[in-house]
Amino acid sequence: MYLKTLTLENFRCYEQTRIELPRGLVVVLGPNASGKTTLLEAVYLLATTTSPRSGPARAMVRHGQSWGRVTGVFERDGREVTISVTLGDPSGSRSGSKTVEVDGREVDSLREAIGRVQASLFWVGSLEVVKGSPSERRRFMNEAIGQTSARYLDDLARYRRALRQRNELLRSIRARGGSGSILAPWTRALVDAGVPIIEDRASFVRALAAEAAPMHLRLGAGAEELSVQYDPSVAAGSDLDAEDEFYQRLEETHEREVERGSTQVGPHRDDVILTVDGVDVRRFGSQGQQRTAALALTLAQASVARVRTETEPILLLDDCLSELDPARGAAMLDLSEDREQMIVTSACCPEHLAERLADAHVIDTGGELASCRPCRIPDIEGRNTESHHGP
Amino acid sequence: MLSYARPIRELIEQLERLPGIGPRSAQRLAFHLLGAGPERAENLAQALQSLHRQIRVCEECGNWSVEALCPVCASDERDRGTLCIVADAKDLVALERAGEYSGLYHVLGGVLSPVEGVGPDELRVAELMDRLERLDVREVILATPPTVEGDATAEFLREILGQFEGLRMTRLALGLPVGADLDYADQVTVARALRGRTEMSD
Ligand SMILES: Nc1ncnc2c1ncn2[C@@H]1O[C@H](COP(=O)(O)OP(=O)(O)OP(=O)(O)O)[C@@H](O)[C@H]1O
Ligand SMILES: [Mg+2]
Ligand SMILES: [Zn+2]
Repeated sequence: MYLKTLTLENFRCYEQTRIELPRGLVVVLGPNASGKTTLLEAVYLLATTTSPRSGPARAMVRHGQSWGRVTGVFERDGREVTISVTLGDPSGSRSGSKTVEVDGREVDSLREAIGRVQASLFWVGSLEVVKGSPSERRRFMNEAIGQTSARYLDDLARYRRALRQRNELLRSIRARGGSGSILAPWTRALVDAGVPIIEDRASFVRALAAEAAPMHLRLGAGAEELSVQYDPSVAAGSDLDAEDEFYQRLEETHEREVERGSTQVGPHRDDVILTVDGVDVRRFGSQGQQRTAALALTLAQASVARVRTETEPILLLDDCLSELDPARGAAMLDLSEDREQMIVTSACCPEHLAERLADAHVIDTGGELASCRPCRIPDIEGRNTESHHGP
Repeated sequence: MLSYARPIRELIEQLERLPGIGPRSAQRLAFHLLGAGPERAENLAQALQSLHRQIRVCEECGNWSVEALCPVCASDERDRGTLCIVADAKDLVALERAGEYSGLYHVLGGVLSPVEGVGPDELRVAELMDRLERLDVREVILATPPTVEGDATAEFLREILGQFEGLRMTRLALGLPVGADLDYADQVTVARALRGRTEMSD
């Protein structure tokens, strides 16, 4: 799938802009604050109906205006689909609203619109997947699996409800005592919803790992090995399946869970182990290593989604070139060769990549195209000696 | 801003408190009643007044009733060996409408929910145990909604009803939309669910 035209009306710094995009590699070049990230944000908004940046929908409307709109024409398997997201109301009555239209028809639930367009975004926030807390990696798994499985989202909602009820009961048992017979139904609800989550995550991370390792090798120009491993709080053991194991672990931790008033084991305690050449990159990775690992995970997730949905997601990569050394930057651009569309932003036009960018479609977001002298050719060890974008 | 005369204002305020009715619908309803003349309003007022004066809870099953026993419990055409346990009286009505079931009911008055402070003592569980002691029930259908809370309630009942030897227990959850209350399930779905009820396993 690829994006053919993008129209922005009163969207952040854009007043009225229409952009045509071809398949293949699209490079968005422009100085800082010229609206590069905003373009990717707009595409992401069309795919998911939400912004990757936090804050109310209203914040995306151009200052001083009462409404804003993003419209995209996509092509998938030769068929066109037009999606538009309107923030606020052009007639002026509902200022906080968000309406989604597919081919000119308003869709009731945002859910109906999600999934028609697949896009994978890498931006500064994506680094959290690697260096953030375990909850960031659980969120990554949930979003990725939820994109292709409504059943997973349902299990997740049921699990959260069961967990909340069970924890409340644990607190009341702590305060007033109480027997296990009243806890048992909630334990069962927790396990019933939790086991499919564990299984889905295990199979997703297996698929992710298989894609991430070669991706990382490509990005790391063959130097380092990324290993991705599901680290479940409860896993199927050698002689017990996940369900029995879950029950057993809950029993083992019962004293502690009552003491603390919260369930101690289960998918809400899961994590993903990320190592580069055997070193835990979550805690010990250099900034460049964390960045490369995060990028590999985003790209791997896109590949998994491609297999599962039989749709090629549009890759949106924000500010990657300046941070990667020339070898990795080149490797990243080469990825576009086997993707339908890849939109990359950069504040500068790195000279060492000029040759590779020559064939790309360039969108200029204004100002002089900064030629990138400070991005110096790296020293022999392949590290950047100077970079003008401190992360 | 010009405000409405007091009686209109009070009516709007009362209507607004009803579920599903916002300020705009409340206004629309109030002006409709105003325009429809006194008789219409009086009929409505009468219906509202007799609601709580005349309705009480069936002594046996917990259904809403005018008499001490609700029509289901009073009927001698029902199969007294089967008991269907529902969360609310409105679920009972949904099942009755489907016309597939001919046994008795037991209305719990809700589902277990620790977060909302609802435990077994807040539901009509003791009354259920009492009825099962008294009556000659062969089969119990657990028809709480297929939500997390409804499932946990069914699971809790299955556990404590285990003391009644030879009692057959089935769970009515098949075919219902995920997360939906019985009330919203259409009659066809309810009927299908009833026919396809399953034995509860351990
Ligand atoms: N609601 C809004 N109305 C008007 N302008 C806005 C609004 N929100 C953000 N902006 C402005 O839009 C501009 C473009 O932001 P954007 O993040 O797209 O820049 P960028 O090209 O990615 O910059 P950088 O290279 O620094 O990442 C910024 O100057 C920002 O202040
Ligand atoms: Mg930016
Ligand atoms: Zn009755």
